[in-house]
Amino acid sequence: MSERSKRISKLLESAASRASYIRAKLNVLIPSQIRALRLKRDNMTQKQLAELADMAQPRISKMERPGEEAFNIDTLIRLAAAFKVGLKVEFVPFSEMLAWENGYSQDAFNPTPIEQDNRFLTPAPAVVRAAFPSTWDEYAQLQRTFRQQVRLCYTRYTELANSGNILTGIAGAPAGLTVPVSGIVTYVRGSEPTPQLTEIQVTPRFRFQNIATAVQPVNQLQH
Amino acid sequence: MTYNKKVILSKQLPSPSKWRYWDFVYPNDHNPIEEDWYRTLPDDVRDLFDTLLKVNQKTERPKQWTGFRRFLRGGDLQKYGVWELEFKGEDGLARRLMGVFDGAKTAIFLIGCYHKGGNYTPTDALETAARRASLHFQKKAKLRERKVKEDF
Repeated sequence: MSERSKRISKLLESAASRASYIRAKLNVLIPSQIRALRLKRDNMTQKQLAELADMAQPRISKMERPGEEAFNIDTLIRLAAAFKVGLKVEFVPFSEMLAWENGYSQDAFNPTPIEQDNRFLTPAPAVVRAAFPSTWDEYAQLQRTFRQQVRLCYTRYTELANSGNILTGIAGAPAGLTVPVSGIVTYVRGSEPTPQLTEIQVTPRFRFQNIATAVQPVNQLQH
Repeated sequence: MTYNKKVILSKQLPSPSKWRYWDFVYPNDHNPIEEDWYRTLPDDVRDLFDTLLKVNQKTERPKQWTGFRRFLRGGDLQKYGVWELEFKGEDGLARRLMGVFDGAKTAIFLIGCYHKGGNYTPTDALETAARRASLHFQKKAKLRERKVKEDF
């Protein structure tokens, strides 16, 4: 039996082995992230970080040494707060954990601090005015741009046909909510878009997919 | 139409994107890193060490490597630029790996050991590291590449 097969057998059979394996990974990846943020992003000394996190400097030193610190969630929260970033703790398949580790780079690790996090500070509004182009060329351009950003939902909305157009596609809106929503409307060729139509009511029976990413302010779509 | 192509050779070779690691190997093919150290490590410490190599291979500046402790001072250790990495396994033993840099993004591992209360185990770890560094730079030793594992 190969070395790898033996390890896999152990991981399959024993919770202790799995715990050790996970711990070994995190005992490197957490210190590495702390070093990345402290040294590369913020150019801080351990003492400065210690003051921000309300900890002693030797504790920071210890946390940067692989395997030295048994991290608990509260410690990580305090560090995240000091670094002005969020914290995501998620149970994932082993393959995903390995992919994270393989793709991780200490030099490239650079989460945005809260004061520069525009997606957090000024998120796309829940109600977004729809982009209603006035010409087919403009429409085609918007659609090209839009296609790159979201997956369009090709659903026919016959209820809206009385607006003068048959709407064949729309993106955006929380599923099942009766809120005015937005998106690029795909018009049936032959009928010109109606510029005065700026909002569409969506009833609960319409189901949308990939909603969160679909909600984009019109001015961002054109970037 | 004729194109005149001019090839400009760069004087400096581009730096490799990742660090490469090499084990010090004696002329008789004995690899003390693999045979005397790595193979004796518990699974969790091996996993940790392999992860450490994986992370650090993409970290440009070695002083920013996770686990990088210091360049050692005194005598040949200082002369050859011997450094040490530190990490700890679940058994609580503080492990050290000593090495030298030689060339673009090339790290050579000289000895793996323990460290407690200012003492190394084996007790002659520092002397061994200096001796092996000396053998390496005198080109009296061999090297074997330690591949970074994408899997365990």
